[in-house]
Order: sequence, then C-alpha cells, then structure tokens
Amino acid sequence: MKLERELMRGAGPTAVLKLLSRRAMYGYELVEALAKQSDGVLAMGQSTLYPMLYNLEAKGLIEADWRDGDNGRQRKYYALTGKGKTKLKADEQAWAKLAEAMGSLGVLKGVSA
Amino acid sequence: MSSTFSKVRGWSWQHSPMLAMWRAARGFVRPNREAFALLEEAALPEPIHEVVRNTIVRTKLWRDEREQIARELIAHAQDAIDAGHEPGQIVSTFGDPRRVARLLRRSMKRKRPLSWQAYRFSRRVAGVLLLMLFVSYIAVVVRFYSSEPQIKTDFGAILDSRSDGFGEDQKSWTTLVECGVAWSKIEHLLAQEQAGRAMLQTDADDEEQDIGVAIFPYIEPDHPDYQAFEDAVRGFASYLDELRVAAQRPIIGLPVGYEPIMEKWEGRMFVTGVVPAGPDDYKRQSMIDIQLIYLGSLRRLSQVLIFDARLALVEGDTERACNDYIAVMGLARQARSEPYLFSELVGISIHDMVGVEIGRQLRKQDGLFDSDQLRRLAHTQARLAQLPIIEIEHERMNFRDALQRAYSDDGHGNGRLTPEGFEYYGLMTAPPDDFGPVTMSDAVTVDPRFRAATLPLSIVFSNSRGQEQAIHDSVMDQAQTVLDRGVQWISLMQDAELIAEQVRAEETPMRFSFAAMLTPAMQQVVANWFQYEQRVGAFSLMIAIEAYRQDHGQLPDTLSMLQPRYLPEIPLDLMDPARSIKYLVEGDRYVLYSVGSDGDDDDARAPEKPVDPYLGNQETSFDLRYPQARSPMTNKPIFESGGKPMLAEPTGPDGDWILIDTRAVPDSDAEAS
Repeated sequence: MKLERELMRGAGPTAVLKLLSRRAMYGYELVEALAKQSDGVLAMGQSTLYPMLYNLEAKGLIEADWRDGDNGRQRKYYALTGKGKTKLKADEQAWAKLAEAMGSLGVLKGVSA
Repeated sequence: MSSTFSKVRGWSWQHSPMLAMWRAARGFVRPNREAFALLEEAALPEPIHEVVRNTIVRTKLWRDEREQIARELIAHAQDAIDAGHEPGQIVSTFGDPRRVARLLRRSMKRKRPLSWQAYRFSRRVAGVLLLMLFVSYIAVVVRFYSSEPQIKTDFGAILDSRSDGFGEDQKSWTTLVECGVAWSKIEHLLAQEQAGRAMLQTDADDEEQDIGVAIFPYIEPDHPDYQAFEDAVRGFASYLDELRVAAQRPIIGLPVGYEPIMEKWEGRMFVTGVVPAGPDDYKRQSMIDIQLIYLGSLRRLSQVLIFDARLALVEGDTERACNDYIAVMGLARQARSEPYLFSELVGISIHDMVGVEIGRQLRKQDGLFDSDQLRRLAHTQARLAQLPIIEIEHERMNFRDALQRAYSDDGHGNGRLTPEGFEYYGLMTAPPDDFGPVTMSDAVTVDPRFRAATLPLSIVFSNSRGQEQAIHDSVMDQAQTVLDRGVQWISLMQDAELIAEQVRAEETPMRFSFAAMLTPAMQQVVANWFQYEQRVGAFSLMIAIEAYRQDHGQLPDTLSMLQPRYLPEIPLDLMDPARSIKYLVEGDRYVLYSVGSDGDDDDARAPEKPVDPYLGNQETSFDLRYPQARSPMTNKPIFESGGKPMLAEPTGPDGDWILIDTRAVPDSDAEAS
C-alpha cells in the first residue's frame, strides 16, 4: 500500500529526517531504507526523493557532501544538521500527538489515549 | 573563531550577487556540457541514459545545477544496477522525466543564493504590480470611453434671451462684422506694403503687434507710416459712417453659437464673417469662442475712430471728432453690456482709451468743444458710467456650460472628464479669435493611437467635475463679495488668487483643468474694475468741468458747483470713501486726484516715483490702501464683530493718485504708449 500524495508530503520529510538521524545516507540507500523499513508504505522514487532532499537542504535541515563509497564510486551523502535535529524532535512530538488523537478516535488500531 | 569566520565568508561568497550572476550567465552557454560529459563517462544502459538526459535538459537550470543533478541521478542509477535492478525497472520507477524535471527545478531553485531569491521576489512583485496597473488601466479606459457629457441646460438660450424685444435694427453685430472684416483686410494690405515695419500686421508675433497697438492711433504726422494710415482711414470713411450709427444701438446681439466663415483672400485663409447660429449649432460651440471673435475688432475699430477724430481735429471738424468719440463710447457700452467678462474688460479698455484721448485733446486746446458737443459727450459718458458692475454671474454660466460639455453628470453635480470633453478642451485653446487671416497654432503632432491610449489616464490625474466647479466657485465667490461690499475688501482676493495660481500651476499635459484655463485672474479683474470706476468718475467730472467753463467762461471754484446741472452726483474718492474726488484749481488749469494709498491729501502731489495718471500702478493699488489685518498666528483674516475687516493703517507711499491733470499740456503723444 502506498500513501496518497498529500499524506506522503507530510510524512515523507519526517521519515527521511528520522533515517538520517541515525547516520548519513545517500539517495539510493534512502529509497531502499524507506521501502524496506515501512514495508513499502513510504516507498518513493527518485522523482519524489531528490526534490524532497533539495527542499530539506534549502531549509537548512540537512547538509550534503560527496564522498567515496564502498564500491569506489562517489556518492552524495546527506546528514542531519542541528536545525534538522530540532525539527525532527518537534515532528516526532507532533506525530505522537496525532497518532494518539487518531487512536482515541479509533482510526489507529491498537493505539489509544 | 577562525572556523566561524571561514563559514561566514563561505556563506557570503555562496550568496553573493556576483557569483549568482556568473552562474546564471554560464547557463546561457552550452548549459548541459558537464552534465552530458558525466553521462557519457558513466556509460549507463541506453534507456536509463535517455531518461536522465531528458530530465536534465528539461530542468532548464543553471549549468552547475544540472551537473549536480546529473551526478546524483547517475549515482542513483548505478546503485540500482549494482543492487540487481533491471534498466527497465529503474526507468519505470523513475517517473515521467517532464514531471521529475519540474520538481527538481522547483526544489533546486530554493537552494539558490539569497541575492537571486531577492531578485526573483522583486521580479514577481513587479509583475504583480504591472498586472494590477494593467487591470487598473483597462478599468480606466473603459470608464473613460464609456462616459459622455450631457448638455442639460441651454445656457445659450438663456444668454440669447437678453436680445428679446430688440429688433435686428437695434443690434450692431452685422455692422461690427462688416466693418471688422473690411478693416482687417486693409490692415493686411498695409502690413504687406510695409513689411519692414509690420506695425499693424495682425498675424505678426506678439511683440510686433504690441508695438502696432501702441503706436496706432497715436501716430504723429512726421511718422513715415502716417500718410499710409491717413489714406487707409479716409478710404474707410463709409464704414465709419455705418459704425457711428451702429455704435448707438442698444446691443450687439450676435446669437450664441455662430459659425465662422473662412475664405481664401489675397493668397491666404481669412475669417471673413460669421453665420448666426441655429439651435443645433449651439451644441457644437463653446460660449467663450462665440463672443471672442469680434472683441479684437471692437478694440481696433475704436482705434480707427480715434485716429479719424485726430484727422478731424486737424481739419477743424470738431463735430466729426465729437461723433467719433461718442461712437467709441457707444462701442465700449455695447462691449460692457455683453454677458462675458472678457467682453466687459474690452469695453472697459475701450472706455479708458477714449477717456485718455479726450483728456489729451482738451489739454491741447481750451474750448475745443462747444456746449452742445460737451453735453452730448457728457450724456454718452453718463450712460456708460451707469452700467452695473461687472456681472460675474454670466462668467459662472460660461463655466457651468463648459463643464456640462466636457464632463459626465452623475445627477449630483459631479462627473468625470469625457473623450468629448478632451476634444472640447483642445477646441477652446485654439479658437479663431479675430477677423482677418487665420493664424494656425503650432500644434504638437501626437500619434492618434498614442493619444487614444494615454488620454484615459487624464481622468486619473484631472479633477472631477465637482472639484472643478468648487475651485471656480471659490474664486468667483470671493470676487463677488469684494465687488458687492466695496474696495476696502480688496485684500480678500489674495486668497482667491492663491487658489487660482495653485490650480494653474498643477495643470500638466496629463492633467486637464477647465478651472485653470477658464478662471480669470480675478484679483486683477477686481482691482482693474475699481481703478476703472475711479477713472470713470474723474472722466465724468472732466467733461462736466469743461461744460461749466464753456457756459461761465471760468472754472468752477468747487466741484459742488457742477451739481445738479452738469453732473447729478460728484463721484467719491475710493481711497477716501467719505469724500469726493479731490479738485485743485491753478489759474485756468485744474487737477482731479485721489488721496492715494497713503490716505492723506498732499495737494495733488504725485509720489516721487512716477505714477501713471490713468492706469494707476503698484503705488496706487487698493490693497496698499486697504490691507487686510491678519492674525500672525493663524494668518486668517481678522474681522470686527460686524463682519467688517479690521484694516491696518494705510501703508502706501507719500503722495496722491493723479487722475486728470490739465496743468501740463502734452507736447507729445509718447505718454500714451
């Protein structure tokens, strides 16, 4: 199941920020991680991922640099900035409250107030 | 510390306008060069190569941005291939290159330097403003071209009603037109014959024309042009006979709304007459134009009569000279009786002209006219002196008529300038204002399409109908107040003149103002009126004194001896309103004078600075005698409890305003100029 565009627009950046909070990652790695860890729900192609990354970079939430990868080729690695960490923290709290609210309404099964 | 400095310096460099301009400029030259080189080097499978290439081209980004995207997309594709994905699968998950390019372009632009973001923002703001301006302009254009004036009041009919009850044989306009056209032709021929001097060339420039007006009719026999003028005036004798008869008729009586007749004569276009108006003609004509056409010739025909009087006096024919003077006064009366301020001013000027001339001839020769001639002059003068003060109501009518022809009407006295109004405005600025050769103004040629496009903007910059009316009313109300209450209120006109000056100053090629164009300089008009009133009183006294001298062989000792036989009332001194004009006898000569702006009698001693005895000047102006007291705090007029202005002490120069002085016999007519 894939999310509708509007839901993805809200959830995607937070998911990316969360992944990058663990370690710096490159584009393909992010695509794979998102698909795998969300069981395909947050799977996104290059057309969605790279514009999202550029937007986050423009906002100063992430920063990028080219490094040599394991296979010897250069890859662009994205990492969370201080501003990005703060934003992620705020997003996590917001998502928790949202989940709680949706749970209390019975929209989210297994989550209740 | 140095790290922070380095970061700041790096940030500044990345966001500097210079770098942004350089990056943008590079994009114009082979924008895909680096990106394509990377693609070639990566040797991706053909389908992936094409998708990435199309995407990069469609981003339309700067050259280095395309390179960045190319590197990232290539790396992504290579990672996917390494992970075992088929090229077809990779392409299918890539999405539509057009959409991807659009998303990449948007997001990449957000990363651009602040200077570029500021430029883009200002460009958008400018675009929005331009759009708003365009929409506003369209609204103004629609508003302008959809409005039209409505002529609701037939002011022409109202003005024409003054002729009710008068037959055609009691109107002078046909004779005036006939004589005006005939003399304009003579002048034209004279000007051609005397091209070097061009004294009477009516289409000469202003300076030449002024010289002509100044010299004629006061030209002396030793002047090189005298004989030519004498021949011309003698050849005009039959017209002068007609003119003397027409000048005694009650009114001019030309109906409102004439059409000028233009014909080719002596190689150029001439205004050779007028066609009286029908009811429809009125709608096409400005009332201002209508009456101005014969005013110039009225003044010129008066000059011809005065010159003829001089010829008559040289011949000893005092009867013809007297009749010429009476005719000139008749023309002055007719001009003053017309319901137009300009016409009244021309009448005043003609009356002044003949008064000065009679005074000059009387000084040259005692006992010039016999008792009967003096009686007739006095009678004509009295008839003229009894005319009411300048009628401003007619001027108001003229202005209301101009507005109703130019502005739309919302039914509440307001409206806006219309396309017809603009045409009308232009028409009023260049009317044929005299008989004779048609003088074409040097009109500025404007592309009609440009004019049609820019004209609607005039309603943005120009006053509304209500505002125009208010400006005109305020000036006219002040003038009416001063004319009604008396000369001591003259300084109220300062406010009115300030309003008028301000409006005139604001008139621009995009800001049309009928108030600026049509509101006369009322401060000058009102002052001129009072000066004229004073001179008319002195002129009446002079004729009465001469009549008394004819009958008694000596001058009266006092002016009261003239009453009631020679003059019903002794005119008052406007500078000393409780008393009459002053009279001083020295032997067989006398002086008529006013106490002047200093307010005290100096026994007919003029101020040290020469004062024009007839026209007055700054030293004799009324606002020096009647300055209005003003609060230094508010600069507002201070009034007494009864509503009268609190007047300051007289501040004029020491001396009197000499009105008529027969002590010095003029040996030259140069003073007249």
